[in-house]
This record gives sequence, structure tokens and C-alpha cells, in this order.
Amino acid sequence: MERRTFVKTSLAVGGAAVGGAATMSLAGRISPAEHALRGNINHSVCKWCYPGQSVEELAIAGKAMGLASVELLEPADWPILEKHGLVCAMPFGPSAEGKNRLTDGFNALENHEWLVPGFNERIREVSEAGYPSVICFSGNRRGMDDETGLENCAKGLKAIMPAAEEHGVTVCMELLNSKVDHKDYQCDHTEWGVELCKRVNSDRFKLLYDIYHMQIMEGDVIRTIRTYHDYIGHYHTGGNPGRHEIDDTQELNYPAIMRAIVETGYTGYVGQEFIPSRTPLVSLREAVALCDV
Amino acid sequence: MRRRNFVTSLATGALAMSAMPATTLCASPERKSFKLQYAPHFGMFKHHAGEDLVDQLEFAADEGFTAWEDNGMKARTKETQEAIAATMARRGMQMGVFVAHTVHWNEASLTSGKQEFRDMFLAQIQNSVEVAKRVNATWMTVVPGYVDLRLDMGYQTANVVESLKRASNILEPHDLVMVLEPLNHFNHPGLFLKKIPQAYEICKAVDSPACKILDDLYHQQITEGNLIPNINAAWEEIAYFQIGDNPGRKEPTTGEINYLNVFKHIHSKGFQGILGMEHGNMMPGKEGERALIDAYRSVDSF
Repeated sequence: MERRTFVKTSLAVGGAAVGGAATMSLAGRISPAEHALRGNINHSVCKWCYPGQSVEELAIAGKAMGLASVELLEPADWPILEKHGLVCAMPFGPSAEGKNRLTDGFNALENHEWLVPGFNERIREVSEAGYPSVICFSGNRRGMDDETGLENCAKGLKAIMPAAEEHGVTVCMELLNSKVDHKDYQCDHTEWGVELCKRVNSDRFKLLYDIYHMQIMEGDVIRTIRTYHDYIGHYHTGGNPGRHEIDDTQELNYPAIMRAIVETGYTGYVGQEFIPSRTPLVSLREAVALCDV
Repeated sequence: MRRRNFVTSLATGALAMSAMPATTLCASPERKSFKLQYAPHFGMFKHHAGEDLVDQLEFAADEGFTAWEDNGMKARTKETQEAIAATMARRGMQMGVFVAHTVHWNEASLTSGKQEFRDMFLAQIQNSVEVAKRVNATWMTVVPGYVDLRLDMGYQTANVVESLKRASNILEPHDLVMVLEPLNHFNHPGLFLKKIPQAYEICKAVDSPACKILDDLYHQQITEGNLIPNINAAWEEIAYFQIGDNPGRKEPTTGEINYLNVFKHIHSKGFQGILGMEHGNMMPGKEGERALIDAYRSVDSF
């Protein structure tokens, strides 16, 4: 609550400082000096898409363009964000020696022995930092059927829900495409994820709906968001095909999707997760402007 | 974004004019052609043009549209069909699809392999030849209809393929093409043909220039998303597109599809065919019709 107030305030101040954004030329779309953010969307960015920038450089640049968060970071990076008045809206979960967080997930029971204590600890850290969520993954199928995956994931996630509920941290499982980027990943359809949410049955477990990944797997983005927004705790972006900028170089109309998200009453964050193909920070600024409905 | 597109469209207007075929230059001086052949349908511009069909065609031609489609063409009288064709010929417009046969929305027909349904279908394809020639159409829509819950998909596919092979034999000598249209499960639950890869598989099996895909981007955004990669993957079998934004099935810019870039992509592949505007108007009345045309101008300004 406090955090959101802070975000709103900083946005309002930033907006007041720049004023008059009436002319929407191309330059107006990309220049923060002419584009005051509206405050309906809490903007965030995924660090891994900016290998050329340090966390601090991205935090400083992001803050200047109105971002409230830099995400997918380890705890060691959080103090840098704090220094610049930003949050990490979606921190990484725990890792373990010899394990890949993304492909070795909750769907395999043998992973629970490191995931459960790891998440219990990470949830406490996230809560202490004042952050809202933490990311988790289903893992790859490796021949597993849908039902077994659901059962296994629900079992592991239920074990960490007491900590999540006690600390007020939402664990979000990301929906990824299994056709292009993450072959064999199990949580690759919204309906499977929603069924998992129903089985875990806690407000502290939701989905990370990645618009890029789900456009590859399913389409029907706005209807899916309207139908299942109660089960969605975070959004990611990306242009399809190619996972680059989310502007007129790809097939989705992001402003329309953002309007639909706002209409559902969403108060969380939208994380930009495209790989810039042009000047990275200019592309980021354009994407924020495009999503600021 | 909209404004920027509009500006770009003004800037490239001169270029577009110079690329226009001579036949389309002779009418109104304000008229600008589009880079692609978007095809409206009857009723879309009735607040501007009135109920008269010829007037509606004239209005569309004045607005720069170079194609038209009419699902219900077969039900019109011969005289009406001839009047439509004459107007379109005079205005240099190309005819898009009409629906070639009775679609069985609620019972298995072509999927069942039953002779009665196959015979009915082939008779309708046969008499579609006459209509197509009368209205100068090349393409006609085919929807294989409802699933047969008693048959495994493999048998249903074989049954549909067999009917389509026979229909191709009818159409091929006339250089006519039936286009298979996958429909979405949300508006049309229970239909056999749902996805582009499935239509591709069927076209490959039929193996005729008379049997191609109608890729309705509205339906496919609901059914499978991933529009551009699917267009690329099925390109050699796609002969026709239809348009509609999602959700709502209204004109481009009213939903989640970035038609500007989808059209740019289709254009860049050298598509010479028609894109049917098989959707409603977002807003009512004259204003809605004008907004729809403006939306097409903006998404055509790639």
C-alpha cells in the first residue's frame, strides 16, 4: 500500500514537472520530457534484456522514464534499487547447485526438497524488502502428463503457501511458450495454470501471464485476460514474432491489451521483457510510453 | 500511434497513387487506392450509400476499395448478380468470396463420408461455377462443417479430403478456387476445421490449385494466435485472407491485433489477392462508416 502510494506520488510529481504532452509526434512518443505517465500501469522492466546496462544504470535510466521497478533480480541487487527508490516487483526464486530454475521446477517431486525451504526463505526476504511477489516455474515435462504435473506442482506450492500467506507475498508461476523459446516447459497454457491455481487455492499463488509467450501458444489475449484476471498476478510483454520491440514491428496491439488489463482493476506491475533490437533504452522508453494507457 | 500512421499515410499517398492501376484512376479525384485489396461487403456503408447495392459498390470504389465480397451471392437473382458484376467491372473492382455451399453447423456432413452429403456438396460446387463466372469471382468459401463424434479424426479428415478432391475436379478446368476457412471454437464450437496447420494438411492431401486456405485472422487469433508465423508456415497454401479485430470482430485498431504490421507482412510477401473485411462496424451510422474507412487508411499506411 505504502509502496503504491509512493509510486503514484513519484509519477505525479514527474508528470507535473514536464507538463503539456499534447502533441503525439513520434518524438513525443519516445521523449519522457514530452510524455507524462498516467499512473494507471505500474511499469517494470526485466534486467536480463539489458546486458549492456548494469542494474544501477538500468535503475537510473528506468526511473527517469517513470519505471517503478526493475525485476528478475537476486537479493544482492535489491539494495541498488532501494537506493534509487525502485522496487523489484518480481524477484527470482531460489536456486540450487546443478539445477536450472526454469526447467527444474515444481512439477518434479525431487525438486521440492530444495524448492520448498528455498522459497520459504526467499518469501521472507521478499517480504522484508517490501516487494509483492516472487517468480516460480513449473519445470519441463520430460514425458510427464498434465495431470501428474498439476498434482506435483500443487503439492509443492501448497507447502510454501503458509509462508506466502503469512508474509503477504504472491508466488507467481510464469506461463512460457514451449514451441519457440522453452521447448518442453509444462506451464505453457493458461487453462493448465488456472487449474493449478484452483488446486493450490490460495490468493498467494497466481500466474505470470506473459503476453508474448501466450500469443505464440494461444492467441485470444484480451478475452483470456478478462476471463482469468483473478488468477493473474503479473504481466510480461514482448513482440511476436521475434521477442523484440512491442511497437508496429510485431503483431499485437499492446495499447489495447494494456487498456483491457487496466479495465480488470489490475493494480500490479507490467514488466517489459522484450529483447531490444535497436538502441535499448530508447526502445524501453518507447515501450513504456506505448503501454502507458 | 493512430495520428502518426495517418501522417505517414498522407506522406506516402503520392507514391500509392502512382502505383495504382490505370483502371482505378478514372473516377473521383480524391480517391486514393490502398496497398492491399481490402474487400467490404453489402451493408457496411449503407448509411453513406443507402440500401441500393450498386450505390454501395460505387461508394466503396469512390473511397478507393478495389475489391468486394458477398457471402450470400448465390441467393441473389441472376439479374442482381449481373448488375453487381457490371458495376464492379466498370469500377475496376475484383470480386472476392461467396459461400459455395450449405454449411452444416450442427450435424456431421462431409466429415461423415455419407454419400448424400457428398452429393449435395458436389452439386452445389457445380452450380457455384456458374455463379462465379457470372460475377467474375475466382474464390468461393468452403466450411467442411461439424465434427462426426462417431468417427476418429483420421477418418473424418480422409472423408473431407475425398469430397474436396472431387470438388477440385469440378473447379480446376474453370480456374476457380475453393478456399477452406477454419473457424474459431468460441463462436462456432464443434466444427471440424479449426486451425491453419489442419487446413494446410488437408490442402496438401487434396493437392490441387483449386483447393486453398482462407486465413481469417480474426478466427485464427482466437484459435491459435501466432499470426505471422502461421502465415509464413502455411504461405504456399493460403489464397485469401479475411479480417476482423479481436475481441469484438470489428475493424482493425479496435482490438488486440496490430493489423498495420500484419498487413505490412502480407504485402511484403507479394500477396496479390483479396482480404475480405468480414467484420462489423465498431460504431453505428455514418460516423462509424467513416471511422472504419479511416482505420483502414491508418493500418494500410505501412
